[in-house]
Amino acid sequence: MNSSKNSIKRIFILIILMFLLVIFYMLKIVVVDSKTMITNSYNPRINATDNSIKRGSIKDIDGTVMAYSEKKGDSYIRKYVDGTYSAHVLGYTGAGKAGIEANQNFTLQKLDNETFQRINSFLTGSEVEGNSVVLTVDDYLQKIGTDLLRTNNGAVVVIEVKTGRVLCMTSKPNYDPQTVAENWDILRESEDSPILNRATQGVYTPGSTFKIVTAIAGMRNITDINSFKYTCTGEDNFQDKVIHCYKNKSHGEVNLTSAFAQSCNCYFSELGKRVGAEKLRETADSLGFNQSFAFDLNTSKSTVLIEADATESELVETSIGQGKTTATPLFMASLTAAIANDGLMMQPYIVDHIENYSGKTISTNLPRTVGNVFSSNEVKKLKEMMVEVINSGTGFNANSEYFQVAGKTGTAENPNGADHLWFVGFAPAEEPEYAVAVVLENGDGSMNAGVIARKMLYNAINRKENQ
Amino acid sequence: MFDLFIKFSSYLFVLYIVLFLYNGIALALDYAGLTKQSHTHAVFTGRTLIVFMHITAFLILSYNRETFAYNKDILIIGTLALAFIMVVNYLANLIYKDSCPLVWNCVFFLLDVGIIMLQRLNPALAFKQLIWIMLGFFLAMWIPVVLKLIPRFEAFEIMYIGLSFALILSTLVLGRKEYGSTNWIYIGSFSFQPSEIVKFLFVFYLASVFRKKIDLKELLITGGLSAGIVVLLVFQKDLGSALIFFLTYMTMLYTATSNEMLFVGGIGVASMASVVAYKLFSHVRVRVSAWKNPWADVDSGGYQIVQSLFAIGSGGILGSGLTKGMPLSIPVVSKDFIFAAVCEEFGTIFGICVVGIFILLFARGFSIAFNSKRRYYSLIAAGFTAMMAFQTFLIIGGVIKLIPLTGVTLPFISYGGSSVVVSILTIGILQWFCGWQHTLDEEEGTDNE
Repeated sequence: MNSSKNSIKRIFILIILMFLLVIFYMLKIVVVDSKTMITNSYNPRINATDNSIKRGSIKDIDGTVMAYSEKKGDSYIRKYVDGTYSAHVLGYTGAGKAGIEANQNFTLQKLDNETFQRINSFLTGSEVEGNSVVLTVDDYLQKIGTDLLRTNNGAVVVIEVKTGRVLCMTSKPNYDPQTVAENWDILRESEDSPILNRATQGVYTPGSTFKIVTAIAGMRNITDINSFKYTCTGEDNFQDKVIHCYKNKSHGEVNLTSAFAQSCNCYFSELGKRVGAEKLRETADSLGFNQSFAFDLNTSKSTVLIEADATESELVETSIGQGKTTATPLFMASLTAAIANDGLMMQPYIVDHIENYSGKTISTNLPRTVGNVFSSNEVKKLKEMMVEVINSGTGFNANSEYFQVAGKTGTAENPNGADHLWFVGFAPAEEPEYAVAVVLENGDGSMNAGVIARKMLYNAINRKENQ
Repeated sequence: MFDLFIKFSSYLFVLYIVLFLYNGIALALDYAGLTKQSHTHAVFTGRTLIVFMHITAFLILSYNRETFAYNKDILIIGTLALAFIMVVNYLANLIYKDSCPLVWNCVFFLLDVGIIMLQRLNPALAFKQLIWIMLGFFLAMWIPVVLKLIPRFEAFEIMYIGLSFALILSTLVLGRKEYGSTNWIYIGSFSFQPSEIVKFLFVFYLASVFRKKIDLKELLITGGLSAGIVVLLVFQKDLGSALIFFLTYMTMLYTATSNEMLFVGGIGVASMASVVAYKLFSHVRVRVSAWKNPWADVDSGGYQIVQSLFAIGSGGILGSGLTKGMPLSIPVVSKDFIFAAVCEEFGTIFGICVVGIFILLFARGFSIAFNSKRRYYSLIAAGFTAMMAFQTFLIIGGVIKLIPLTGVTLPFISYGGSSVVVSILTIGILQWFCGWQHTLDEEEGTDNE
């Protein structure tokens, strides 16, 4: 009889432990997981708008209001100031939600000191207001970036290298957040996908900008890389694939630096072949390809899908950034910023801080590191190579009289039309402050990605100095 | 102004449940002889808190924002439910002589949380639920009479297991699919879940067998028959019930034999069986993959669990406030997922306290099993309590993604006629044992302190 009583006790203890686990797990959901979990686009609460309260504003880093709510009758309507310049960052409300409006929906609708605000509103008729979101972007740079793209489709991203703060993020074609609801069908069906944020979700073939990755793979896996020379005749055969240099230009005898500066496809194909598919993939993975990217806006993965058993033609295509490899402008900007930041990759972010109804800061986002993705030797060599690109290579368009730019150009073959043009880079080369990534779809020669990059860097640096 | 009241109410609800739980724990410690305090006072406090919670909730639920007026129908339902709870709580303590008032309080608190949540989610269901609760208590009031007439109901061992098989097999003939499981019987417009009734028969059967000293042959026969029930349930895709029956069997086997080896061996066999079930049945694999990574397949397999997590996460610590959340976006929210809705609108602190009230209830249940001097009653009490505890764990654990989801109801809170009636009757039997033991102690004049 007594042993049976002991068994009951033990069963009860077991059940208590099970429920303690339940309680612990519930706390984990609300305290740890909920912040990232609830902003998922599948959460229907994101699209719920409480029009009985004044939704918080969205401001740029200087406090310039970009989006705000205004009372109309019993409820509130959303207004955007120069919304077209920052459409993909701000997003929209009304026909579902997107951008910061979606991602920060809970913040914008959260009433700080709700009890006080409600009582005050009841007594004095004051407005009940949600928290405001202050972004890291600069409204002025947003305008410049958008204008520089002119009528081209594409994207511009500028990142502060030491922190990962996004100063500018524009995507074209853009739209007016104010009229999304009325124009929904047109926007939705347009072949150019204006709703798509090309900066974060545009998956482009990286073209020659990927040679940064191939070069690093070479440095890591080929011991005599600096003395390795190759004679370029403008084209070369690899198994069943013929690789051409741009306009079949013969570069003669090249080494890593000169091949990089001239963007010699034959050299990098040969280099990729020597490195091998497995090591190339390993290098790409170590730099953050194929990993999901933590960011405040929805992002696509940048991918390098080559496998160890790939054919030689697949391998050489991948080595020069063609084939199945994809990258988003934000990711390439972030990778370039890591080179500029002595190899330390920062997690890019776009929400600087949150203010309550009275303008008091209630939470601030701090820079976060992803990790050291380049060694200091690699950084030194890459910087030198990227400066050569500007001074004696394909990136001459980005050359500035005010500061030394370092960068890499890219031309991505596009089976559906004219090539896509890339430029990634940073400045000043000696003490880097800003990194930039530019993509121009179907570049027709009317605008050059290097020029846009140079102007963005100039404005970013100039604006900082004038402050 | 009304929004201010809702905001204020979210603190009130937390206050009510924390006080209720604190009061309940104090009372339970006192029953266990660890502290001394006035019983009537603490029991009264618990009842008052239920009344406060009920009134606060129905003031919110019956208010119409557009017309700035109170909806009379909802106020009537609310008043009716409150009157019913107060009267039955009083009657139950009267009819079940020397039963545990703390158990009744916990049951009514949980039932009321269910009524409030259902009124918010689907008023028609709240009314139906109230009818089911009335039926449950109407039936429960007869338990003392029946048990007085048939005190030695352990004699019907064979009938219990025979009926169990008959009922479970009946779904093959009369069953209809509901949420992917074939575990409902429809006779005319009346429908019920046979596995709910089998819960009683199964515990009665096992207690009848285990009350005696059993030999290996009997052990194997009982084990085989129980496994038969579990396997049939798995075939009907009723994984939740299958697990509950298995765990109840293990609990009662362990209580009766105190044999750790049997317990560990049983769990080992079950683990192997789960692997086989995983390989054999696609519906098992679907559940497991939805649990492992629901985010990979939000559109189909992971949809339910992801919506549940959104609700709990968005509600946060204090909840969105009653009527201010979006719990209707959770699938099957009035039944399996009602706990997620409670967490969203009342907050996770409230949800944790609900778990606390369940633990309190189970503590009292096991204490009845512990104190019962009749081995048969002791076994039944342990079996019923464990059964209810495992069911609660399976559904709450499933809703918060701690374990794979198995569709069972949350006792007392989820909508469901069979579930509510069976849960109330289970408590009725436990309470009768409690009173029986008390009377025995008094007659013997001995104190087991």
